This record gives sequence, structure tokens and C-alpha cells, in this order.
Amino acid sequence: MKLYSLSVLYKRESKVHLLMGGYDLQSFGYFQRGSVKEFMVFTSQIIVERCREGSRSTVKEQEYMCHCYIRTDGLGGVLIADHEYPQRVAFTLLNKVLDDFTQKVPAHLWPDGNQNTINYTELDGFLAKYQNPREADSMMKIQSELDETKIILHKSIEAVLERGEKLDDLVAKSEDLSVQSKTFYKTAKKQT
Amino acid sequence: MAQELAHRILSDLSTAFQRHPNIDEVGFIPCPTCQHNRSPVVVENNKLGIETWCLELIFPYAHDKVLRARGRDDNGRKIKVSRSARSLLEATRAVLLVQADCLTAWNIRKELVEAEDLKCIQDLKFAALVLTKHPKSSETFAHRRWLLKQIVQKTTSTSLQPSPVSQASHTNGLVAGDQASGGAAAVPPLNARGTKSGGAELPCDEKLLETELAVCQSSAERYPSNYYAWTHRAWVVEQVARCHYKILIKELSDTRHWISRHISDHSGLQYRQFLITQLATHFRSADALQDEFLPLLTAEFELLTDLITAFPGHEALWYHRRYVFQQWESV
Amino acid sequence: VKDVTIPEDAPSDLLLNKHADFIALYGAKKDDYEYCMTEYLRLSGMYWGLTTMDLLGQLERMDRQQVVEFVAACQHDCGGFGASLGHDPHLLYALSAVQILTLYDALDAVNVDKLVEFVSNLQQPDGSFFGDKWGEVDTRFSFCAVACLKLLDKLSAIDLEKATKFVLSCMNFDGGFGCRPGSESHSGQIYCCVGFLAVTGQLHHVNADLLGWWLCERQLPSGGLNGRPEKLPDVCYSWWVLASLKMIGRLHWIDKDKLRTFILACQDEETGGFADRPGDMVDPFHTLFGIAGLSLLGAAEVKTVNPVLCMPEDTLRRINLHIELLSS
Ligand SMILES: CC(C)=CCC/C(C)=C/CC/C(C)=C/CC/C(C)=C/COP(=O)(O)OP(=O)(O)O
Repeated sequence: MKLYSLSVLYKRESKVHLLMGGYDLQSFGYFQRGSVKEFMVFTSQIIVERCREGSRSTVKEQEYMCHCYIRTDGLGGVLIADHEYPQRVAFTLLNKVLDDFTQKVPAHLWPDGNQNTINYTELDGFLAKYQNPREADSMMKIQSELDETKIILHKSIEAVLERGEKLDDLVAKSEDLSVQSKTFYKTAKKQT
Repeated sequence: MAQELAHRILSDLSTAFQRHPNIDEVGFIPCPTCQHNRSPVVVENNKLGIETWCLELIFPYAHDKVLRARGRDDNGRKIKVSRSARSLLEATRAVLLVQADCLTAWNIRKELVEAEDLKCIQDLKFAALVLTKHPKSSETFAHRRWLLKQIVQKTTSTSLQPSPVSQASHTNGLVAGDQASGGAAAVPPLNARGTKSGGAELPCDEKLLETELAVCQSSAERYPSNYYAWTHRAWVVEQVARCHYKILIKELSDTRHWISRHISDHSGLQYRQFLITQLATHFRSADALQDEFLPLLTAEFELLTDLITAFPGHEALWYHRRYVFQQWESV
Repeated sequence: VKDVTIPEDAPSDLLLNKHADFIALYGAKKDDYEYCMTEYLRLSGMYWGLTTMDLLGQLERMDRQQVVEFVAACQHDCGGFGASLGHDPHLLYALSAVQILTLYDALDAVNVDKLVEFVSNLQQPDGSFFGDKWGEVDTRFSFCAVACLKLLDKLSAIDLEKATKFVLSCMNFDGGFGCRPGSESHSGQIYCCVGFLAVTGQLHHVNADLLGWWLCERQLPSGGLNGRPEKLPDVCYSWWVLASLKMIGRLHWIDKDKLRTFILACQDEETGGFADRPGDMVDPFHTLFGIAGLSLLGAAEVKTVNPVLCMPEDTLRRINLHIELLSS
């Protein structure tokens, strides 16, 4: 079981931007890592854009599970993991991260913040610690913490998009994805 | 023009391998067209990268060279066989980095080994590199087995025998007909109670074994439930380590952590079934089923109970549990 | 559960003519990079394509003479067949060659005696088969050997008893089979081993209930079948699993309607052809096994396929080849 990326984003009036991200891309090929990272950011952003404030959701995309929690104050977290990683632990981690972030980064910095202006360095540590879900947290505690909000499951990214919208088009249009990453996306799709 | 360019890229590849003898990974860099004036072959951090636009140039070019070594030209017409070891090494290398299942290319390399133009160890290294890009290439694993056989045959006087797995314990009598023969007799003639007396020497080079197991592990990591990586691993334990008791025990303990982190990887779990079956045979012939084998099964049960409760809903874990039950019953 | 979701707009009718066009076109772009990349398995590729065409009733669209000449040119002096011109001989391609020539009733174009010699020389003292002279052992090769010889009516050329013993030594506690003794059960290998037993008239060795249960467990909520536990479904298993179930008389144990829906969803409406999963790239391999799977499920538009040899029943009837299966 693996965790790949953990990011904190801010959402206001359906506009979303990334505040900070942490990544563990060791398991990807050396020359793929750059594109994989761009796609993880891109995907996290789309999911936070399309999910409601105050919701917890898991979006399945091929062999990845994107767990997303957006608080009512607009602070959101996305954890990208594989299929084996337990969902409950994923959401516990997201809770924890957003709490920790709120404590360490004042809310007035969120609306215009980005990776350069915000000083928050805990994400890599969280990722590393939670790679092994059992060492990170005992299952029992988790069960009780999470029951208030139901987790919505989406079977693909397409499922969170609006009618008529296509992921391929979003990829093609995106200004955050490099040419190499767009090519990577196309070939990756062909080969599966 | 295209031919010339392909030729140049192929020599870039050769240069890269010469300059960086420790390349340990190969990958393709997505890039639809040649956009700049530099080589599509790059090495960074000992990782070899090839830009994708050039694959359709170099592959047909190198493939054609391979066929010429088999006496055929572009149009399949018979021609005089031409071969120079160096150019064959280059051409097969390029073909296999792109298409690892091209068995003729591997065969040409086998012939080069036989002609002593290529060393087994060298080609094991190349095949390991191919697996970083194509972790489930059956032909690559098959080629490794051939190379390993060459090494083992050279270093031991005993020749290889057919697989020594005892099917009697494997199938628990589900198969009609007799299949008990070839079981106990084929168990390596080691110290009976391995745990206590320990020391019979390993029948193979430890370093070789270690490298091979590491290659299996990294291929298993790159592609989940990698049938080829895990069956190869079992082959290595049988044919290279001759099912040495110490290795079986070590493998059982080494893969424990791995499967706890890959709970849906049925191939990894099944590999443990292979180990346990071998150990059952070993302990049966040492008359230590109760004393030494049962505790081992109990430990496997406990491991599974633990994993199944922590990570519910995994078919692979339940399947493995069924196996352990069957073993239990047969003791 | 690891599975796929079938898109709402996925095709639900068999696009028969599109598939025939796809196959007919496939061989026409010979300068293509993809085509060159698959050169190493060409004869099998041709068998997939031609069998598809025959099952669809459109074999006459292909150039018989050209095919037969090509196959004949792939035969080596040792009697074996390479995948293509200049490729080394291997049992896998010997079977494909024999299958193609049988479809075309053209076995006289090659040296059959030499071929039989090639196959029987690959048998080992323990009954197993090497795939070629380099010594790789796999139950797939045991199947290729007997399937080949059966089509040539030369089963007596090998030691059947030993061959059977080896195949049975690859049976696991779950009733399935792997590639070698002690190897993981895999639907593809099961097809080969059960097929071996069917060809040689020994299906009684199979524990049909146990194996049938394992095979049925391959069906996922999407309706598709996977090859082993916790893997994604793939159209090709609609062949390996279904044909095995058919051979052991347990085809009725799976949900046919759901499987049909899954297979049909793997069609590409634009190009024709089937992919492994909905939305992926199509190829001749998945196209044959999609079509053949539908045939086993009783599709009226497709000819009846033989579950052991994956060839049209009418072809086998022509050469008087009959294989007994277990009854349900
Ligand atoms: C006449 C016909 C139809 C066939 C000839 C006989 C042969 C060669 C059959 C091949 C059977 C087959 C598919 C064997 C499986 C080989 C194997 C161990 C595949 C593992 O494949 P993965 O790519 O890991 O696939 P999954 O992930 O789906 O398990």
C-alpha cells in the first residue's frame, strides 16, 4: 500500500489553488516523476473544484484513489493513494493535516497563498509516517472519529465533472501541464 | 536519412552504456517529435532515458539488423548471414529495450554467450535493466533462467534435475492417479533438522542468489501480482539454491514484511505457499512435522488473522488462508 | 473490489462488420511501427485475425495464397516454425501455423513429418515440453504440443503418459494449474492444462467442482472476468475462463448476461475491434477472444467455436476431429 501525494488547497467561489503539496514518487520511473507530479496536482485541483465544501469524497481513477476532504471554510486536502490503502486512515490523515495546517498557517494567508509564500513543511513528514497505516494510527480510534460525515464514492474523475465535460479536453486545455506531461497522459492511456 | 539518424542514435546508446557502466534503470521520455538539436538518449543519475519520438526509428532499424543475423533482409528474402558480435550486441540491445519479448533477439545473445563474446554476468545485468522498463516480460525472465543455468552448471558438478517440488503435499490428494513419486527423494540431501544443526553449505554463490532475489523483488514492486517475477523467484530457490533449508526459512521471513505491505498481491502470497510446501516436504522427511512445521503454520495463521482484520475485504488474503487450512489438515 | 465501471454510453450490440473491417485492415499497414513491434508474434497474430474472420463468416476476404505461402516460409529446417521470417522456431508458433493451415485446409504446403519430429523432440524425460531448444518449460508448451499433434492426427508421436503426469503435477490445492509445478494458478494456464487433458481424453483427472468454483470466482461485479484473485477484468479471460468452464461442464455457473454486457462494452465503435477493458486500445488478440467468448455464450451472429482449440467447429468437423468434454 502506498501514498503518493498529499496536498492542501484553498477553495473560494469555486476557484481553487494549491497552497502546499508533498509527494512520494519513488515507485515511479525516474523520467516519469515530473509528469506524474504535475498530474497529481492537476487532479487534486480538479477534484477540489468539483466537490462541495463540507464534503468527504473518494474518487477512483484507474489504479489510484484520490481521497478529498473540503472543510466549510474552504480549506481542502487531497490524498492520493493506491487501492490497498485503507480509506478510514486516509481521512484521519486529512483531518489531522488540515487541523495542523490551520494551526500553523494563519487563515488570512490562504486566499492569496501559494507554495512560495506559505511556510508549511509538515507534509513530507506526514506522508512518510502514514506510508504504513498501522504504525501511524490505531484502527480503533479511527472508526469513532469519522462517522459524522459520509464519504461519497465516485467511480472515476469523469463522474465528478459536469455533463458534457471531458477529462481529455481539460488536460488539453490545462496551462499547468507541460507538453511532456500531456504526451505522457496520451501514451499512458493507450498502454493500459 | 532515417537510416542514418537511426544509426547515429544507436551509437549514442552505445556511448551512453560505455560512459555509464552502472546504468540501473531505463525509461522512455514522452516526447512526440524531435524538438531540439540534441540526442534523444540521456543519462541522468545513472538512469537511461530515451525520447519516445525516436523509438519508431531505432526499433525497425535494429530489428532489421537482428533479422540479417538470421539471414533475412527487409523483405524477408534469404541473404547471406552476416554477424559481428559488437553490432549484434548493439542491435539486440536496442530491440530488447523496446520490445523485451522478442525471443529471437534473446537467442542471439545466448549464442553470443556460447561463443564467449558475452559474459553471463554481463547479460544478467542487461536483462535486469530491461526488467526496470518491462517488469513482466516473460522472455526476459526465461533468458535469465538460461543464463543462470549456464552459471550453475559451470560452478557445480551436479547437473540440474527437473523441478523437485513434491506434488503430493501440494494437491493434498486432489489429483487422481499417483503423483507421489519424485517428491521426498528430490529434496536436497541436507542436514535433517535445519534449525538445530544449521550449517550445510549453500549449493550456490550467495551473491548470485542475492542479486537474483533482488531483481525479482524490484520487478514485483513495479508490477503488482507479477506472475513472472514470483514464479521466477520460486525457480531460483529450487534450481539455484536447490531448496536449501536455510534459504527457504530466510525467504519466508524476508517476504513476510513485503506481503504485509502488499495485501492484495496474490502472487506474493502464493510464493509463500510454495515455500511452505517445500518446507513441509523438508520437515516430513526430517520427521519434524509436529515440532517444527506446525509452529510455522500457526505463525502464518496469525499473520493472516492480523492482516484480514486490519485490512478487510481482500480476496487474496482469504485465498491464502484456505491454503494454510489445507496444509494444516494434511499434517 | 478492484474492477472497472462500464460507461453508460458503452456499445451494447455486436458491431460484427466493423470487427471484420478492423481485422482486414490490420494486416494492410505493414510499415507501421506497431506492426513491426508485434513481428515477434506474427503467426499467432495471423491466427487470431483469421480465426476471427472465419467466426464472423468473412474468411474469404483474406488472401489465402499469400497467407499459406508466408506460413510455409516460416518453417525451419528443423521442422519448427518461427513467428515470422527470420524469427527463431518455437512451439507457440508451430501451433499457430498448424491452426492457420487447418483453417485453410492447406497442411500439404508444409513438411508435416518434420514438424511432428520437431514437436516430439521437445519432450523431456519428465514428460514436460521445452518451448524450443533453449530449454524453457511451461504447461503452455504441453498444450501447444498436443494441440498441434491432435490437429495433425499424430498424438502417438509423444509419450502421453509422462506428458500427462507432468501436467497433473502442476495442479494446485485450489484445483487450478500453473506454468510449472508449485506455480500460482492462472486462468490462462488452466485453459492450457484443461485443454491438454481434453485433447488427450483425460478430463476425468480434473476436480470439476473445485476448479469450476475457482473459475466462477473470476467474475467481478462489472460482469467481466479476471485471470486470478484481485486483478482487473480483461476480455481475454472471457476466453480462457469460459472455455475452461465449458470443457469441464460448468459454463452455467457464471452470469452470462453480465459477462456479455462487459464483452460488448470493450468494443471500439469507431475503429472496430475489442480492447482488454472498456475505453482502451483495441488489438487482434482481444478481438478474437471477445468474439470467441460471445460464441461460447451463444451469440447467434457468430459461428460456433470449439472451446479446446479455439477454432470454428465446422473446420474441425471437416477434418473429423472430435473432442469429448465433461457433461454438466
Ligand atoms: C489456441 C490458443 C487459443 C492458445 C494457445 C495456447 C496458449 C499459448 C495459451 C496462453 C494462455 C495464457 C494467457 C497464459 C497466461 C500466461 C500468464 C502467466 C500471464 C500472466 O499475465 P498478466 O499479464 O500478469 O495478466 P493478469 O494480470 O491478467 O494475470
